[in-house]
Amino acid sequence: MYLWKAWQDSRTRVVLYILAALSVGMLFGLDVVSWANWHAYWMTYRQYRALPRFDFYMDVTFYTLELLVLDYGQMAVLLAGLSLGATSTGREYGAGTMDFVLTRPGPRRNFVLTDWTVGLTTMVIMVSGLAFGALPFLCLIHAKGAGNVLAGLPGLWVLGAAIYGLSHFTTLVAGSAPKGLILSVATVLTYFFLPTALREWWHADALLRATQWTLRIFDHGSWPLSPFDWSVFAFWLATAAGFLGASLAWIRFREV
Amino acid sequence: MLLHVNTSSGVPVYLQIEGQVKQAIAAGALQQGNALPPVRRMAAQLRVNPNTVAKAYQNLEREGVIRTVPGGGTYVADSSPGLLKSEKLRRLRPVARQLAVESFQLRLAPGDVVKLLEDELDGLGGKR
Amino acid sequence: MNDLAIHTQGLAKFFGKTRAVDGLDLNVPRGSVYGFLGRNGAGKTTTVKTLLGLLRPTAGSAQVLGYDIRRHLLAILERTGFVPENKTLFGSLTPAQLVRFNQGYFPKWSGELVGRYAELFEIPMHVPFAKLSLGNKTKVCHLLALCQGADLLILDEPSVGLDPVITDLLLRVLVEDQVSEGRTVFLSSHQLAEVERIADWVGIIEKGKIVLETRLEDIRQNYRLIRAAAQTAPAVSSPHLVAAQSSENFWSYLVARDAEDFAAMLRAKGMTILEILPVSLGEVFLGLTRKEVPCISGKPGRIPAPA
Repeated sequence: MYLWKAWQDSRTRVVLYILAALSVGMLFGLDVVSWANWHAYWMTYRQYRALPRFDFYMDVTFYTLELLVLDYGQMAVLLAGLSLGATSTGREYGAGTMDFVLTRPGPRRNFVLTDWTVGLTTMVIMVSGLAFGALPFLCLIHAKGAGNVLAGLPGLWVLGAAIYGLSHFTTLVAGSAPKGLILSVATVLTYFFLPTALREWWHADALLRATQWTLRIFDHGSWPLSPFDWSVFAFWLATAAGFLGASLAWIRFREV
Repeated sequence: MLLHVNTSSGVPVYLQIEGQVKQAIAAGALQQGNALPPVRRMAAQLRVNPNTVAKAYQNLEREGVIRTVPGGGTYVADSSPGLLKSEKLRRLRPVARQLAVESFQLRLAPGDVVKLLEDELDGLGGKR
Repeated sequence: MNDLAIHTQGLAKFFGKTRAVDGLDLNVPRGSVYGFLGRNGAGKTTTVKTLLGLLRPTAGSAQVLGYDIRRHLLAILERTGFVPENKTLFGSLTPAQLVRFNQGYFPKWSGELVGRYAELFEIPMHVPFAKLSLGNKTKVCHLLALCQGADLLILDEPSVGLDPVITDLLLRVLVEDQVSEGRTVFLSSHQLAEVERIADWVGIIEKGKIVLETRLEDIRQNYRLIRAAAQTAPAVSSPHLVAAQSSENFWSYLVARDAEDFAAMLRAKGMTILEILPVSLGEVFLGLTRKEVPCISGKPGRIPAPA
């Protein structure tokens, strides 16, 4: 029953997010492809009844678009993870409905699991929407198809899950969405900047090396794109699971 | 059947109910054989606990004022034939004492009090 | 103890140094209407929340419908209808949707009662909860609890925001549909008038402890207020003395039974008895919880000399 209620609450938002993400992806695709002399490409096809062969210029376009999608995807994942984690639960616990929710006969963990599932699904859809919006354009300009964009998605999802989990947990603990968001943003910023600070001021490299290893999930610097790294993927997956576990433990012991 | 109870007076609610049922019978509003509402409905109507109404009904039945039929339903009983006059007078003694005390406080002569009582009985008399 | 719907032994809940519930012994018989009375901050809501698993007890034990609150909470929640003090439900859902949400949890849900109560209490069923007035919110909370088919109803401050007509209807509904079916009703309130009407038991809580637990009929039949006058302060004690109050040469004693005997004892000590009065629930409550004049509450004892 709680799933139905969670869906009722999020329905409109999810649809809007999907539409927004798809539109943004398509705008990206359109924008990037438009300066790739689309007209010339079409003329070649009409003349030779075949797609042009590997073309350096086209290749750059293709990879630029890929990178753009993935880079913006990373930012989207960060923003979506943080905000969805805070808002999917913040409302109940701030609004005083806990007395009601926690006296329904059913395991408490179901409430957290349901919230998590709906929120996480929304986030995955939002991030993927971006990629799928740009996908038609990627497929059209290059015979290789969507290439590494699709391969890059699982990495984004798992990172998003970890950020979502963080934000969900901090919101549960802090008791309201704004406070939860502040805590999770603070955690993320600390994660990014503390290791560098430690290296600069105390010449302590270890933490920086560790976090940089985890941030390889963002790694598309080389060309062609780097192969999929399972260990980093596993790290973020474990982090996401850890936060889920923390939220479940918290609700089990929570007093209202 | 419309009763009224005051829950903040010192008189227990079940006694109020008993008193009002007896009063209704005396005034002719309830005749022999008339049905009383079931406990649940009376309690709901008066907004009081059903146990209170049940207690009142039990007491009334014990005194022979009402009777319950095995199939259900509560009715005003035939006027109590089984009680001895001495028993009936014994029942009235507390009320009489109270009347006597009040009259004493008000310094009324016995004759006046008797006249008062006779007037009240006359008022009821025609309806038996 | 299967004949008690709620039974607590030495229940305690501390919040740091605050002892909200401090050795509570509650005995709520099945099928009764139990008025749980206390001032604000006496520990009523803390007790209710502890019974329903929203708070974990610091010490002591409790059983609701025969189930231990620490081990079988789920069984308790399946059989108990609860109206919380904080009458907030999901703001974005309408009452009709809340009904749909709630009924999935309770196999004994009665749809027929939903229709009847919605009409009786004039509940707007298709307005989002957040937009309802406090009175309507309270009504919806009651609706969800009353249609559950629960064996026990725990209502915390049930008449908050309700106008007198609706409160009256609520009492009728409680008597007719709940009590008459043998269900237990536990009313936690400081609105004495409503409790006095339909309760058959009362428990008064003060500073986290029960100071009085008795049948309401007992109060009406046996409790008496003895008003007396004396020039000097006598020392009196009695196992039935509940509270005493004095002002200049006037004294009033609240006794639990045998008022005549107590009055005789006072006369023997040279006091003049002014009158012996029956007392209302409100007077007993105030006698036990009032602050303005030194009071003896709950236990027998000697009366201190007036200041």
